Amino acid sequence: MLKIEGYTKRYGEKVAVNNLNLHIAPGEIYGFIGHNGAGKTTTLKACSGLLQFTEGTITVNGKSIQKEPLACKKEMAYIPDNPDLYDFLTGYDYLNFVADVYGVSKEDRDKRIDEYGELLGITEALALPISEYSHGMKQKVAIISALVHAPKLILMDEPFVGLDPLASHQLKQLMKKHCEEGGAIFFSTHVLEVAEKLCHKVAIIKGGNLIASGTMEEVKGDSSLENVFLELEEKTE
Amino acid sequence: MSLLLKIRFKSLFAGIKKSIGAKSAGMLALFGVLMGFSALIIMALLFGIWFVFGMYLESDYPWLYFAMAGIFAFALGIFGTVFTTQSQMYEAKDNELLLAMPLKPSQIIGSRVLMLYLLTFLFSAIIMLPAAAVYCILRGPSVTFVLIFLLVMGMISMVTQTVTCLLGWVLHFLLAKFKYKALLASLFMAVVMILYFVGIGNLENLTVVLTQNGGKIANAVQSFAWPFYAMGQACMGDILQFVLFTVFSFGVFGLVMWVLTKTFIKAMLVGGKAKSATKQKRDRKIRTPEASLCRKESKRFFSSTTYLVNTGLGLFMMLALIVAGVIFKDKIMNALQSQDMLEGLESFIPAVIVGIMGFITFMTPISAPSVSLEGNHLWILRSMPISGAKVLRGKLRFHCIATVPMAFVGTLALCLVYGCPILDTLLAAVCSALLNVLCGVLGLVFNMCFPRMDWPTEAAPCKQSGAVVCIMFAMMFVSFLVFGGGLVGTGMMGPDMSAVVLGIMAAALALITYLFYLLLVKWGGKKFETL
Repeated sequence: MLKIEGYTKRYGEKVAVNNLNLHIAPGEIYGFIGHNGAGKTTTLKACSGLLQFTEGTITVNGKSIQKEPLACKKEMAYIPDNPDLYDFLTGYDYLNFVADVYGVSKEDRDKRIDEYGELLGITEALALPISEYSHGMKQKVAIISALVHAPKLILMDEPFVGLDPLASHQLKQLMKKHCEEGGAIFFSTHVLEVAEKLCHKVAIIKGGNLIASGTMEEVKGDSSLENVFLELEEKTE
Repeated sequence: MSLLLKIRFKSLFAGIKKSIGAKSAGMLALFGVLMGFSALIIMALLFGIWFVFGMYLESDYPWLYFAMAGIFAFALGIFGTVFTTQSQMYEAKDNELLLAMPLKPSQIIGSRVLMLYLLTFLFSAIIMLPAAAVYCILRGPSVTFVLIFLLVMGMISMVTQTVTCLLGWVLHFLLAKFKYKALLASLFMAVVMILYFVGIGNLENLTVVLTQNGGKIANAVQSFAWPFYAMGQACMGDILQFVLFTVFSFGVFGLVMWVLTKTFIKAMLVGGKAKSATKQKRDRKIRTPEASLCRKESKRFFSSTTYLVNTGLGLFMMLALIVAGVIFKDKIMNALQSQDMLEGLESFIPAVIVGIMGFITFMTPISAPSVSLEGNHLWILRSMPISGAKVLRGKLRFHCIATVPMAFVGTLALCLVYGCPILDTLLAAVCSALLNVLCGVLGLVFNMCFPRMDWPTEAAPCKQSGAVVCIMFAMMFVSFLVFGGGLVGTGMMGPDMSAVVLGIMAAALALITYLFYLLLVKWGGKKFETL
């Protein structure tokens, strides 16, 4: 579904991500872990087509994000760590805007907006302007907007930040369901317990370099993900 | 406080650099020279006006000369900065962040007011320095005069800034209570602009009235506008009035700052989430991506006071012009014919109307800040399967929907009312419509040249960006060409050929618009995808 091969991103002299190789297959929830500034957001932005890069290739279902960005974007959705939505629109207006751009039919969009709205407990607020929303409410609308066009691949940057416990639980269920239906999720998180319970595979990045990756069992063995992460951090100091 | 000021200055220079796309100190210096040159031209024009008012210096009330300078500077300062003050003080993105820090509201307000004061001081200097120069020529310069004048100029700027802050404060609380605050603010600005243009149009008569009625004006100022009397007297060397004016300036400034400081947190809450929002009806209509983009643009335009006031004023002006043109038709025709301005006047009217309608486009640069306004929201469009060209077309579509119908119908109505032939009328309406399309296309091209995505308030891209400044000058220039071309062409080819001249103008405008449109969707679209 998502293939990252030799991806390198430089900002002038500084190497933000160095020769990253990852493969996220259909049905997988892939966690991306690392300290602040490790290169997680840079990688996710490059995968979603938000960031230009010159070294390496990123493909979505065999299509290059550099050569066919629009075709790739049709098949995926991106949720940033701080979803700045159009605060002059209502939640419904925003979701309709997204659905219009993706060409979602009336029946599908109504069904999905109602279903996910109820699930995340935000239906009532969708008729209000986004300027009235809290961070968590914006996050919920961003999640619905990502699901409204039924993408195959979802990229999420810290998706649990700002969500209440119930919404957080519902999001985990949604993520599992999405992957059971053949979709894939690549997401970054600092909450290692969540990653440990939710992810099929995990990648740990430090200073732009991949220091561990594989199935959850391969990476953590008998230890906890937190212990492994801390050990790896120390080893690579 | 000093740290806040440092940040403000850094942000100001970074903003200027970004808005003009300057990558080097040389470019920045060139921009400074150009702005300085523009200011010098305005000052040179004012120099002439102050020579006329110099007659006050020979009258029984010589102080009125400087009082007039103060009144003009005060009026321009208020008009030029009231909305900027309101948005920079109460709508700045970093207000909440700063309030969360161990900073006093007075420090936050102080740093903002000082920056605004510099802008007001600049306005005052443009108006008052030529007055001082004329005074020195007529009366001879002296060190005492220069010193007192500079202090007085600083203080009148302070009084202006004080009143502007107070108005911005009142405006903020008032607007928070209205649902359609953007429209209300635009309407207010349109009325002010109409009065301004009426004033400019009657400047000659106004100057005569002001110079012939000096005595009455002097009495009125002394009775009802004492601060200007005091500042006038202070400039003439009256130390007592200088002291009184100083006490007054610092007194009102201190009082207003105290009120603003005490109410700053409350003002933040009024403008923020404290107000109750009304639920809106769920929109279930399916649209094409471009139509949906266009709708999004319209929602942004009508919900933002800053955006609407700074780029939509021309719409109100256009409407006012059309109504005034119809109502005062006989007066305008009589005035033109009595002065025997042009032979075969009727055949020139369509070109004149097109020129005027085109000139108004400089007040409708709706598309010019629209890319910059994406700001932090840019990720939404960039992560969607929609090309940059399509996004720009959506923005252009809204610009055209907002401006073209009114320009087209308005020109048709005016031409018909003024008895122009049908063919001329239609061609003139097409020219007006094309001028507005060109304004939309060029605005977007300029915005792609000077995108400014990390703005602190919407005022930065809407008012202080390179794109907006460029489109305003460009449309003034194009309108002047169309106006001049229409008159000269009709004059040279003869009144019977006015339709041919208008046809050529329409074809030329269509060609230019199309070429820039191609540039926009090809180069601009690609550039948008890499912003």
